[in-house]
Amino acid sequence: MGAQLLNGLALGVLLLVLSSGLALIFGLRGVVNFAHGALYMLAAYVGLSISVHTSFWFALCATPVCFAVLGVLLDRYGLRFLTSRGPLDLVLLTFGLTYVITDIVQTIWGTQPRSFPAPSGLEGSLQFLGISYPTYRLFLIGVGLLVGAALIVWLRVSRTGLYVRASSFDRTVAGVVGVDVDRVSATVVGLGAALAGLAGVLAGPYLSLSTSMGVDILVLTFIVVVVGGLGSIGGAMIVALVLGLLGTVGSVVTPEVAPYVPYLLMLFVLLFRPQGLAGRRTT
Amino acid sequence: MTEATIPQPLRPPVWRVLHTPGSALTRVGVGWVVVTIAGFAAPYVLTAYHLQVAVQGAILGLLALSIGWLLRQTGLLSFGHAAFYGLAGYTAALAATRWELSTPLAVALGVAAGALLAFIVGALIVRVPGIAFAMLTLAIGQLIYVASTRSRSLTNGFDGLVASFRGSFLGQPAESYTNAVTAWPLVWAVLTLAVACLWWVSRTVFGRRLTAIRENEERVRFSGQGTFLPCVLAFTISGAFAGAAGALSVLSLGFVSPNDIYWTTSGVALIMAVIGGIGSVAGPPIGALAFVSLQAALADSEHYQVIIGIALIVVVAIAPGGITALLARATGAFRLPGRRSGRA
Repeated sequence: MGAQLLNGLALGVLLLVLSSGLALIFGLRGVVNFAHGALYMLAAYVGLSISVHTSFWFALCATPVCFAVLGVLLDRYGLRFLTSRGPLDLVLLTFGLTYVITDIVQTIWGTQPRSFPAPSGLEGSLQFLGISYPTYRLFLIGVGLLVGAALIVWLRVSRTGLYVRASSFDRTVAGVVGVDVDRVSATVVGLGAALAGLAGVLAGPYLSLSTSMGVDILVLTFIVVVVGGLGSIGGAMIVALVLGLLGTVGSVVTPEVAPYVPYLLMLFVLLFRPQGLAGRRTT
Repeated sequence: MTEATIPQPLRPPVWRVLHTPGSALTRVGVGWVVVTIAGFAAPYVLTAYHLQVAVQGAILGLLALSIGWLLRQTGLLSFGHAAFYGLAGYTAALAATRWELSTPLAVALGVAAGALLAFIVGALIVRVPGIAFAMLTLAIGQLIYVASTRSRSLTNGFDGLVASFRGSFLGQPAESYTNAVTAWPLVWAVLTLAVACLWWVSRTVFGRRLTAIRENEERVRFSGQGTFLPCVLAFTISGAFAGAAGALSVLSLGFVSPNDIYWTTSGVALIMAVIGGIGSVAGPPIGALAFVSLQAALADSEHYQVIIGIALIVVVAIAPGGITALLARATGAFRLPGRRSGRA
């Protein structure tokens, strides 16, 4: 049972990192980024290639940075010109981007599933509290929680975090009081993409790499962000952990119902509270 | 004070078609007849492979039509129509194969199942505003997907269900519909009839009310008209057409699988609808046929995904009305007086 709890935590933490990125991008740009799963998948493959040539640790640092740059470029030369479009247009654009990224991945790395070996320091299992648990997953949990906490702290304490929160709350007024919303939004989209990148690299040794991994996790990520509250980072984080735990614990305790839980959760929460548990807006 | 009778506002019955100028009606009518008749000539013009592609394209076009019409008329974006599509397919397959019903009954049951599910889902979620509605349709679609993969005894899980239709259907032996030459007339007739039907619905008072709800729901309620029932009805109609597509699909392929219910099926249908243009009722089927032709033309190339992705990005970025808007600008077709083209 303890191992299952930790498994749930591992999945939850992965979802946490991924959905924080999505929630950030949505909170500021109002874009439901359907390409987020594809970015995650691309990051896993890119991380694999980098770690094969250099080391896992280098990949862990370099991949999020690359994706941050990619996010900034995407915002500056793409999303910035499309703010006047309705949400449907942006959904479709990011949908199209998913196809493009999937094709790139298939072209460069092929369609066969790949495995991402854990780095040498983190292979094997650790014995503690009477259970033996893979070391890498403990590392993943630790890193994920650390990154999540750092994100929350940064948003609360730093000046840029303040600007991000202001721009997410009300773009126009933030612009009026002097926040450079375009620059903040480039930062946020970059950060969101970097988080997707980090999640991809972290997920590599944990789940195996395949060209459908983006699509599979995307729906779960949407559920997390929408249930947590569109635009609320803390809400997304909590729901991510809850879903991860419910999923794995549920598959042990009530295996019949467990696969339905995320969707039932989204159904019930959105029916009674369309803005999500901690959200403020519905569009 | 005498009781003065307060004049009641004129309330035309909801099925009354609003005035369409005769010339426009003729233009649309003639266009529809010409295209329909020309379409029936397809088996004589296309190769067997291309005809098969066209049949699948037309079926997906029907699905795209249902999603696109709903979006155009009511502004509701649904990612869950694949559930109605798949449920209709499964119901028709089970009815014909396991419960041994006759083919017409099985097909009718399939369509009815799709419509019924759409009614239930619509009644549940149509009140939810904004992007939450789209996410809810996604959740419900995925719920049904998971259910279809889990109930091995009923749906055969991931392996999918092979359907064997028996007896005759519309004058042809039911098994022959897996042959594209037999299937095409049926599929094309259903598609063109669906386009005509939905075009007519959108010209009625009911259809206009839906457009008013799309533009400003609060204002409609303020005018004294309910918005819940029209939206539920629109969702049900849309779901019924998605169900028809599902029944046709299982009839023409003889096979239905959970993959038909996965949300990417709805997503692809949505892409087709957008590429064709949701400003016009006929846009989504056109988009579907274009998409499927592109896919067939690129079948040898391994890069069709990137081309489709780029096509979608280009259409959304540059030509938001899709193919029909481009055609409208070029030829003046697809546009009726007073209707905006190319607007979501």
